[in-house]
Amino acid sequence: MQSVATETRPIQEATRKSARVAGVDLALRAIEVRRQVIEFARRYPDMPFHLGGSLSCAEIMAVLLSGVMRTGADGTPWEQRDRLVLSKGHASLALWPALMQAGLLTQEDLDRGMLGPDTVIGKQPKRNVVHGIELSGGSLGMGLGYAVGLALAARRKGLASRVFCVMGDGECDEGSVWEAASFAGHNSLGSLVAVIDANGLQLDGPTAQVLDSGPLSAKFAAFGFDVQVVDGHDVQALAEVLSLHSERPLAVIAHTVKGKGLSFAENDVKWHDRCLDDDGYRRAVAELEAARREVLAHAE
Amino acid sequence: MQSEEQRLCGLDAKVVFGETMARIAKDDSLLTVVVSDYGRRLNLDAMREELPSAFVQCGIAEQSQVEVASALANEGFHVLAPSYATFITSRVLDQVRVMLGMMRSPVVLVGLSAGCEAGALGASHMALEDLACMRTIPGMTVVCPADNVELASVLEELAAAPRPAYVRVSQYGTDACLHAQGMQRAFGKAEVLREATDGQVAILATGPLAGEAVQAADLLAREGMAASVTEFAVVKPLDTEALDALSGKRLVVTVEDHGVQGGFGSAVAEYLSGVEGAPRVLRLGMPDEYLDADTPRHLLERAGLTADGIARQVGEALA
Repeated sequence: MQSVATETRPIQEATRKSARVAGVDLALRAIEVRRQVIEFARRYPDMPFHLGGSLSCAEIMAVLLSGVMRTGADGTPWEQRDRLVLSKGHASLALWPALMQAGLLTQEDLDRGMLGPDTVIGKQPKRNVVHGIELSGGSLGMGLGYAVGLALAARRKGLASRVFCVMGDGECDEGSVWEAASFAGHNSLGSLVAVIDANGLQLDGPTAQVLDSGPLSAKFAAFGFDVQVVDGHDVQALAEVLSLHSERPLAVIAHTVKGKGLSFAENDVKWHDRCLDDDGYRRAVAELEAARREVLAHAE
Repeated sequence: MQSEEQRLCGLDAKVVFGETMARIAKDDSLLTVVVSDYGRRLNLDAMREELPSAFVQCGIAEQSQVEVASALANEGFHVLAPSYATFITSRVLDQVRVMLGMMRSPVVLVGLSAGCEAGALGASHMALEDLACMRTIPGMTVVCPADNVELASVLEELAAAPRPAYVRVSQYGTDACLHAQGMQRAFGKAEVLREATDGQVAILATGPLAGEAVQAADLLAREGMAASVTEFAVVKPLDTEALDALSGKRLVVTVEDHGVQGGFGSAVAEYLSGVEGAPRVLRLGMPDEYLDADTPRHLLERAGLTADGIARQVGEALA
């Protein structure tokens, strides 16, 4: 974990309850999230799903929903639950299995599929709070402002709820992100955590070439956030920084690999959105199984 | 002695907004007004004194304003989000689509200085497309009060029962106080301001130009043409029963301080296009162009939206 001390005020370790799920299990859950992402692609072979950005945030989703958040499915009184806003709605394929792992969706919900009117999940999320889905759609740049509003509501109600917003680094091109960041910093929304899935690629190519977002850590710091930079595939590092609390909002810059887990898709902009053919599916299943065995081997 | 209604009609609409918020805040601790650096003119000091947490300042950032307002509304607060009409509608149209449309967040957007009220500031500040933008969002309630009595009543109605809504506020200083006797109609219902049972012409108006429409009917009566005047404060959902009642008319005239395409007149024409034997529709509104800065009165005169202009165009249509 690379941790950058950009702040004059030290971040206090939160008096959080110990992570419910230990590191090995979180790593396995992240791999299972990837497995489910691949199963969605298998089920809809003609749909160019957003595989790259779903695979890059598997650890973020698993750690948030199974390790860090008080989801409301864990006995936390519902009103006091933490909220998760998936701003990069394109990555919903990773959200659904992580919500299932947290007990907020069932296998039956997933089996009903992603298309048409009679589904619970979709290609883009539809707000449905009983399942932990707070935001609709995938129109980029809206999640942080919505998360700010949720954090403000919790403050006004005197609730300890934290609000996590998962965004992409490409998404940070949107000006609305910085309107919301200004608000969060100005109002010291300490319950807000912006998690940037910094996979370095967007539709048209590397973010550094499309519109260099520069050092996001410095930008968020300038907007009044505490900032942590982590390896977004290191579940223990993620669990640690996502549990930090201070009276300022927190930005976690999680460096990730787009297409993570599928050797043929990693860091390849073509896998931003692409159909997965039979051969790709077989290779993906084999590679994810190998990854699972490796985690287990390391655990012993 | 001046009645409360007459007092309200003599005030700036923005002052009435603040007075109304202060009154609501006394009984409703969930009231929330989310602003984007347009709070000082809204007379909100009394509300803030009553309920300090009701005031949320976003700075000049309307996208954030709509997002923050929507989350607060979905967490149970009764949220109004006022700003310049063009900025709280067309500038944030995608936020409104997602947050108020798809997510049905019960936020009341309030568009101030709508129509050509901000004409002195030029085309960038006039809101002549806002109705068109807002009424195409599924599930939106769209309201154009004709005077401050109606404005206060509409704000109270929507704060008490929040829903995805847009309240369009325009005022020209010469407007009639059409509700000097208080509000008589139920929310959502059109209100007949001038009867003309046997007349061939029905004038339908939304917003403060309803007063000009009444004066136009007076002018037409002097020429021997009887015209009824009906005010439609609620543009969506449209009171179609009131439109069905126009079946025997020769001419329906719509009047609005909005672009002639996409607004109230278009809504009326869309409905009547599906009614067999429906009357012909003459749509009066602002021209299909961006206008140079001028006083609101001059802009309305040039667009033919004063009493004289309305009467003249009705006469020409029947000639």
